[in-house]
Amino acid sequence: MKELLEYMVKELVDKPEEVNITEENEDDKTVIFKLKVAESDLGKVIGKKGRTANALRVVMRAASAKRGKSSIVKILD
Amino acid sequence: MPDSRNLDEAINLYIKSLEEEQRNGKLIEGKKIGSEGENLTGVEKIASFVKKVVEFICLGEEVKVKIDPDANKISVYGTDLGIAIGRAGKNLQALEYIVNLIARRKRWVSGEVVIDIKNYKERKFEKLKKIALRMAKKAIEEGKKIALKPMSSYERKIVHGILSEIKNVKTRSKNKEPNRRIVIYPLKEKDAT
Repeated sequence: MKELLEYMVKELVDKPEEVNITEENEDDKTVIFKLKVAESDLGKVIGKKGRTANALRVVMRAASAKRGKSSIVKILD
Repeated sequence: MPDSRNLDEAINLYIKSLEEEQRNGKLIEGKKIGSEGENLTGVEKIASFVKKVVEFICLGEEVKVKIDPDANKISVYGTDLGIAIGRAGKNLQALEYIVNLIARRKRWVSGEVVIDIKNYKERKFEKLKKIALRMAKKAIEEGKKIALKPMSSYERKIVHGILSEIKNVKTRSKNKEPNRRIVIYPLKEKDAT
């Protein structure tokens, strides 16, 4: 699922080469994605009032639901 | 014997018509859209992105996309795509939001891109239209205002749009999200314009 997040985020930012995502299993069912982007791109992945971040989370939640999991996306700053 | 200029012209015309045919809302499948060719039009690039994301969400479910280049509309078809639509279309809405951000950023299209999955939006529009018209009729007949059930901003926009064409009513929204709902007010004959 990491690939999906990476695929979307890389299209959103100015510096795709600085996109870095780590995936951690919190338990059997929960995956945490820690998303790191260039400082100048932070605003792009968060969006006004966090709208972009929320939309990314919704899409990731859909993908993980299909796989019987839940996912958490954390944006590191 | 046709002279060579006419022949060239004929060939060019033929190629143009082929290209046009390709652009106009044909089902684009498999290889063409999957490969990130440089010669794709903006809306084709978007369709390719949408196809990949929906396929990924739906675990490799077979997905087809149809492009309407005039309306910047991408229609997605497949068997088991419910999760990509989500409850009350929430997931579809999020996908559409992200796609529009990217499309605008990369200047792939001018204006807004519309994504529909298995005609969800079309069906929703018809459903809302039915409700809106029935309730408007009721409001007029009974001469009383009628509040509809809470709806999302997207749904309210549709209902406002539909009822703006009905002369004897006006619509307003009240309450705060997520309980915001439309109220239909009947207008007296003389108010109606």
